[in-house]
Amino acid sequence: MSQSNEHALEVSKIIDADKASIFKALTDNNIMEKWFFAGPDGWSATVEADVKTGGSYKIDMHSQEETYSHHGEYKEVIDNEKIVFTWNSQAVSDTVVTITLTDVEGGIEVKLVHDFMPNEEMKTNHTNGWTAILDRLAANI
Amino acid sequence: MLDSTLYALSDSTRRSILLSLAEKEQTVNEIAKPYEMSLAAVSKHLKVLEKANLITKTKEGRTITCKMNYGPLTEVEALINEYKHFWESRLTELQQFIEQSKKD
Repeated sequence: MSQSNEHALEVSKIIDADKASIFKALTDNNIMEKWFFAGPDGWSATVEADVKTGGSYKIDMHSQEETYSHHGEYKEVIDNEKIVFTWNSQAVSDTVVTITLTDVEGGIEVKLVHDFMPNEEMKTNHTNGWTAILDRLAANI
Repeated sequence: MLDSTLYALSDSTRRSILLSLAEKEQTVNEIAKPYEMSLAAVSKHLKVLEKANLITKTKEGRTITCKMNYGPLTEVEALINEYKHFWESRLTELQQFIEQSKKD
């Protein structure tokens, strides 16, 4: 794994639509259920999200056999711009997901950063960053 | 288990210790040398790393040597890759949903 940025996980997509309709899809519970885990293999999702700063959410993803629950709290919600929420699952607790919407050529860039160490001190030292550790791992396998 | 690994990795001193152990095995004194902190403080960090199974200590006489373990890092990397795939799929579905609803 070779990452030049300080975040271990960052994904983005350019969507040809306006910010308002993307923001709506990211926050309207009924719409969230349609895209969040409505996968092809019989998966579905139930979403209860109170999308406002300090509001909480619960997202259940159902396969035919099991339900995987995720929950957290919205840390920051700026209409049509930015959503920050904590993410708890069976595997991780109090990780933080940040979604930002930015105007770019061809539409809106939806950028998602999942930070697995949100309590880390803010000092950014790239030679000492934790992706350096993962780079070390890659070098040793 | 992953939580304890992530916790152990969340401190820059501990990451720096791990990076130096990735170079070679070292005694506790050797590990402590570059840091302006007490041996006790370094030992505390080593304890956290050991609890997360990121290092193994071996004792020979009075000397304690630390060795890095890559196993837990492999799990962290697998978790990140899993989530990366997960979020990429979510954003793809979001895009498809929005583009489909524009057509309708």
